Amino acid sequence: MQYKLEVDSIVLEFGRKRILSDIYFQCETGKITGLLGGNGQGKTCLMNIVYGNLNPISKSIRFNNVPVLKAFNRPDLLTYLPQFNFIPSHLNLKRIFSDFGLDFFEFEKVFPEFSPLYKSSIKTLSSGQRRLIEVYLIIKSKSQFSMLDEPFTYLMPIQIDKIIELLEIEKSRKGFIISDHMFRYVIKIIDTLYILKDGKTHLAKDIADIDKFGYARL
Amino acid sequence: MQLLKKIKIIFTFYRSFFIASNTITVCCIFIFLKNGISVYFPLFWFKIVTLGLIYYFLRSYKSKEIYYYQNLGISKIILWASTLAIDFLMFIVSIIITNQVNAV
Repeated sequence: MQYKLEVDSIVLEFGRKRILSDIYFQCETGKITGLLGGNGQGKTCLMNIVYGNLNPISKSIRFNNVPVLKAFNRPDLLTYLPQFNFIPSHLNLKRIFSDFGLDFFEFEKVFPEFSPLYKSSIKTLSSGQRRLIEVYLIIKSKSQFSMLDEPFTYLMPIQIDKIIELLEIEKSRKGFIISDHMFRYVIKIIDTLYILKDGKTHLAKDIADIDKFGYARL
Repeated sequence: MQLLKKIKIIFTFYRSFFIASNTITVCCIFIFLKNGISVYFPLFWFKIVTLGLIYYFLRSYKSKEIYYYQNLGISKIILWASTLAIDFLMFIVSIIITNQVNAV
C-alpha cells in the first residue's frame, strides 16, 4: 500500500521577518524527496514544523489525507534525524538498537567495523561513528516516512555509499525526505526535488534548476 | 511489553537529573528528621521550587536528546510530567515514612 505525506499552507514568521510563506511538497512511500536550499532559507524550520516541534502561524500537514498536528507523537508515521547528535551519551549501542527494535547484527553485516563496539557507550565513539549510527537508526526505523536533515555530514565517502544503498533498499517500504548540502549525493538518489528559496518551495523540473535558483554551480 | 519498554525509556531520561533531585530529597528528609512536622510546608515548597529549577536548566541542556525520545514515541510533555511526578511522589512517600518512623 502506498502512503502519502503532504505539506502546505505554511506561514512562519520570526518577529516581523517572514521565513516561510508559500510551501508545498509531498512525499510518497517508495520515493525519496530532496529538499535543497541555501543557509537560512528555512529547511530545518520546515522539518521541525512538519515534525510538530515548531509552531508556525498556519500549517497543513497530512498523512494519507489525514491532518496530523504533532507528528512527533506518531513514530509509526514519521521519524526525524535532526542535524545534530541526539542520542543520550550514556547509552550503549546494545541498548540503543534495542530501544529502536533493530537488530545490531544486521547493522554489523553492513558496517563490520562496529562489531567490537556493541557494548560501548555512544560517547566513546567518534563524531562520524555516532552520526552513522543515528542515520542508520532513522533510516531503518519502522515508520512510513523519515526526514533526514544533513545525513551525510561527518560520514566518509565509503559510508555515504553504503547509506545510499540502504536508502535504496528501505525506500521500498517507506518514504524519505532528505536535505543535505552535499547535493551531489542527494541528486543521485532522489525521485523528486524541491528547492527552497525566499520562503517558497520550487519543484525542480530538472537538475539544472539547482543552478537556476542559485543554490550551486553544476 | 510495549508499556514496559516505554517505562524503561522514561527512566533513562529520569537518570539525567536523578542524582541532583534525590540529593535534595535526602537533605529535606534530614531537615525533617531534625525539626519535625513544623518544617513540612517550607520543605514541600522548597522541593517544588528545586524541581522547577531542574526543569528550567535541563530543558535547554537536554533539548537535543528530546529527539531520541520523540523518535521512540515519547513526547516532551510525557517525559517531563512523568519524571517530575515520580520524583515528587518519591519525596512525599519518603516524608510520610520518615514521619511514621519518627513517631514510633
